[in-house]
Amino acid sequence: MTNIPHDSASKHVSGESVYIDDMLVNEQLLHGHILYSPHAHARIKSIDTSAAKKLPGVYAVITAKDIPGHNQMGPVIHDEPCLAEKEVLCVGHAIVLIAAENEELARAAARLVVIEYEILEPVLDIRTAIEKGTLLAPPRAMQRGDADAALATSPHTIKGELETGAQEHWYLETQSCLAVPGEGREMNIYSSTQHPSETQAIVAEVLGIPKNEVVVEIRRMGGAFGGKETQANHTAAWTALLANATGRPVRIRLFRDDDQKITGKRHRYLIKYEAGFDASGKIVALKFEQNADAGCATDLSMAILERAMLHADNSYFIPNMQVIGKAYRTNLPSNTAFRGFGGPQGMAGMEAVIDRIARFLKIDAALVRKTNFYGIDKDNITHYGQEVELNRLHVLYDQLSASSEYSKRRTEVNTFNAKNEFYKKGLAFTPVKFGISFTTTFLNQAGALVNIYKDGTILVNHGGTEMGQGLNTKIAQIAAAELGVSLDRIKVNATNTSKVPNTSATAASAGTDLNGMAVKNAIDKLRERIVKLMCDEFSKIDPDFPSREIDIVIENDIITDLSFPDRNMHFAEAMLLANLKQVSLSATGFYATPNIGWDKQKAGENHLIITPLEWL
Amino acid sequence: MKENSEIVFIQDGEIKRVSIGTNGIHPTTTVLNYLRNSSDHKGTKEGCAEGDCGACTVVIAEIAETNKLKYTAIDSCLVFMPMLHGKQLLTVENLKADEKLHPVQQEMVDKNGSQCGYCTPGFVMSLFALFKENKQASQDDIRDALTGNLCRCTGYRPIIEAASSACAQGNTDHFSKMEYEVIQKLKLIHSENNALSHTSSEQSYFQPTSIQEALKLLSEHPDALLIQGATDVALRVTKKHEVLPKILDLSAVSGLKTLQDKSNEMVFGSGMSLEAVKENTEHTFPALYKMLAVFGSRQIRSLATLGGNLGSASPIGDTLPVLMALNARIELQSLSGKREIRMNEFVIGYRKTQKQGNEIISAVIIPKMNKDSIISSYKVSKRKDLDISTVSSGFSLKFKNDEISEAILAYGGMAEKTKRATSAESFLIGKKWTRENAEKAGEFVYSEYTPLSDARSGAEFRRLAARNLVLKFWDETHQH
Repeated sequence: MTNIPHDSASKHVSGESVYIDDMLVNEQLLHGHILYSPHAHARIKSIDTSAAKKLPGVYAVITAKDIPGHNQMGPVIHDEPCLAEKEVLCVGHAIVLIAAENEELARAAARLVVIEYEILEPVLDIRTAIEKGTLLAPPRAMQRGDADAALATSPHTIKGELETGAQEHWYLETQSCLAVPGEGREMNIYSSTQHPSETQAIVAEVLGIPKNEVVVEIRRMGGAFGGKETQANHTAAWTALLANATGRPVRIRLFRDDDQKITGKRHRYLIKYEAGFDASGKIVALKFEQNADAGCATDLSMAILERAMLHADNSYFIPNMQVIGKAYRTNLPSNTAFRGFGGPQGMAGMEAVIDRIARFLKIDAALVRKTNFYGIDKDNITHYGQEVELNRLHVLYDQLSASSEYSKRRTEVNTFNAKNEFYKKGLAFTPVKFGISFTTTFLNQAGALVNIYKDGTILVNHGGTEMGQGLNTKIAQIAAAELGVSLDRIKVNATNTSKVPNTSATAASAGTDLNGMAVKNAIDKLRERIVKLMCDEFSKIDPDFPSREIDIVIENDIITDLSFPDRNMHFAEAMLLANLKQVSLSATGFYATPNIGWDKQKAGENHLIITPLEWL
Repeated sequence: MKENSEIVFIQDGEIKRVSIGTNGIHPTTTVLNYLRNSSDHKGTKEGCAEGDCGACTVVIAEIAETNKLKYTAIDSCLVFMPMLHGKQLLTVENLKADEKLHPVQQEMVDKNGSQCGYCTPGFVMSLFALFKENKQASQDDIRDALTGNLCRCTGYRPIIEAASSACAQGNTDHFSKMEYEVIQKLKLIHSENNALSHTSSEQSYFQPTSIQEALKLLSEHPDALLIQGATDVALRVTKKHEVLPKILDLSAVSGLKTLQDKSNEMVFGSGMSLEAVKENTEHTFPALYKMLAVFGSRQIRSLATLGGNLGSASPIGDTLPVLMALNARIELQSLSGKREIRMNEFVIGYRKTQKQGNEIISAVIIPKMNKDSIISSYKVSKRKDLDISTVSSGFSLKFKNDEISEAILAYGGMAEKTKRATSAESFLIGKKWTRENAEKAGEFVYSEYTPLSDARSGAEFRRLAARNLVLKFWDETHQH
């Protein structure tokens, strides 16, 4: 297989790749700064910005009341004010925005703003949140069988808790945005965002303008990891407000310390479990209560909680299983998407149970895992009702077990540990079952716009965003392969909401699948037009023997009639011809993942019951 | 001292003159900010502004003793502009020649060493410095050279592979061809007046080149903040946005960078970088070497100095406990002469030392090891490399007829200053080095301190770690 480097690799290594903070802007550019709460929970008694406004070189000092549109930037539930007005809910809660000629002046202005607070008691951890009952939304539940009854009759039971900690995304490039006002109400946004369409929506919302006035563009991010799925919107909204207030371009690149304070982390979880099992380690009953620390607003917490619940089984068939999920508000920055989106927390709970069982029975945890694997023909329905199809787990286990010499290593580790008092070694053999695609069904869609120019070069636009995962490289490969042209003809454009509208976030491990198919769809249309054109052209060579569309192929930049190999034309030449023959060389593409979805059935008194899941 | 505000260095192949006080350049403007503020040097990135991530790594070339250029990777976010004076600054934009990628760049492309690309310029510059060292870089060398660069997309393996294959190609590149010319240019700069001095209403900055000049300036400005590598002080500028009113920068004083190897002791100039000290202690003072190996990244160690670490007298100060265990002495100099203070008495309180306002730390004297002694050092931190210690320690035991005759158990991170566990030391005198005695000594250590709880750990963890380190020391040193 050929090694195709990342499409930006040569630019990365020479420092030529342009990130938001590297974009050259005219001398009108202002530096944006955010003044945020130093308190986890407080009432704002007063805000005095008068002295800051008087500082020469300071162009705007704005608060909630200066927001022309809605003071709101919650992506799903509108519970997140863009700027705090009466109450701050976490350290890092933005209150005042400043635009100044440079960073020093902006900081000097920030020091002149006087905010009076009345300190309120914060909730800083999940246990306190549970005590105080700060539920974010009704609890979720998934169940199959009767876990309580099965626990009562289990030969052995264990009970315990697992706490998983927070995690900072630490994308090397902090949240960044450049906002450039256009004419009238136009606002051009360059944002380091995984979700340009949502950034566009939030900017339009805070500015009080329609979406067709806002263009969001992102060429590449310096890492994102979920941290820029919703929370890039915040920096974009703040930057747009300042650009709107000053009529000048404004850039904000969060200082690392500010980024770490302001933005959300991976959700901390307190998982309580109770398991019943037999002497072989076979689990017959399992109850999980997953408690998530959502932080001060909803953000994506409920979707993350549901994904944690959907992964509570990891790779194991548990006949009687109950999973309850609860998300609680605390006075921390709103927690958000992070690689795995709740999956890791859900699986960690399950693996903690496996580990405890292995220790209880004094058998190798790998065996306990194998004993509980989903079956091939039976015991293959998850606790949410989906059939596990094409299950390769048993084959993988056997292959890996052999290639890693697991048993030999296990013996070596045990011998080493018996011999050494202070130094110990560990060894684990753990499977992962992970769900691809959005659980919010309608998000499984993507768009593309493919333009072919008269010189035979191709510009591919799609709705996905490049953050280092190599999406654009893969998209270029798809485009080249589908069109039958060489890779160097293809350029993947910066993602832009005016080229491809209404996109989903680049997330859910589905960026290439969704956008690649949308690009393929666009290219299918173009190829059809090209083939028809060439069929007509080739037929002119000898009208007695017309070419057939089915025989026309595009391969290695050459368009050929397979039945008459003499009838061929270089791709670039053909594109010039297409233009002369008034054939459109631009096409949009679209894709929606088929046969996917789930039905959240409402039932029960206190719980939203999500069972069974129906994969349509 | 004559006012001389002109920083002269080589950038993009040309001699560049930047006057402090013009174009927004202050004495404490960092090299990173200088680069980021120009339109054609955006390749160098800011990731953290505190020397933790290495995205801002650039390379400094200086004339080495061999009349060759020595290339050093540093974090440009921690370096003040005047520190470039008389040096060549190389950034990621300089590596390509005639549109052709440098071998380290090409290998990064070929081995798929970049993902999001934001950390990449920093990695490339660290690799470039390693490449120029022209050694058969071992895996350990490569890892050490890259410790100061974070890749959050977790692409370390291809980067390490790129390093291996680039370093296998020798060190010849377009910089080799330009070396003579660069050396001539640097010599030309050095032939001009070199001592920098800048005074404005906000900030004064002095960068003398000799010890005498430095001491004279210090006597005139006893309130000046002394800096060497400034890796600690720079954070006051980059993180706390402080304006440091008066700075005496000793980084250009070559007389502080010398090493004397005497028969019974070694004298390390206080201005020697920790990297230079490390290079000279592997066999002579392994306990110090061991501590320096986990003292920050290569970029930090190349800037930070022994004198700076001692002068800041942090309660953790990684080199302090081990220097206490080594029975080092600190040489102080003022206009009236030199004096020596035993390391064990040097620090007197929270960031307070016996150094007087008119003195500078000129050297650290370490007696050569006695065959009757065992000495080791330990660092407990959340991250192995590039982290502030939760607990650090330096231990030394001297034996007479199998019995302990002298004991030093020095700890950092356990009190307001680096401090010895005197109760445990007294207990050990006259005892044999047995597990039982080590454990008992550990208990004394446990009771000796009342450490703080902070972001790094709770007080109880610190006590337990301090106690257990004695057992670890026993485990590693007792005769089987």
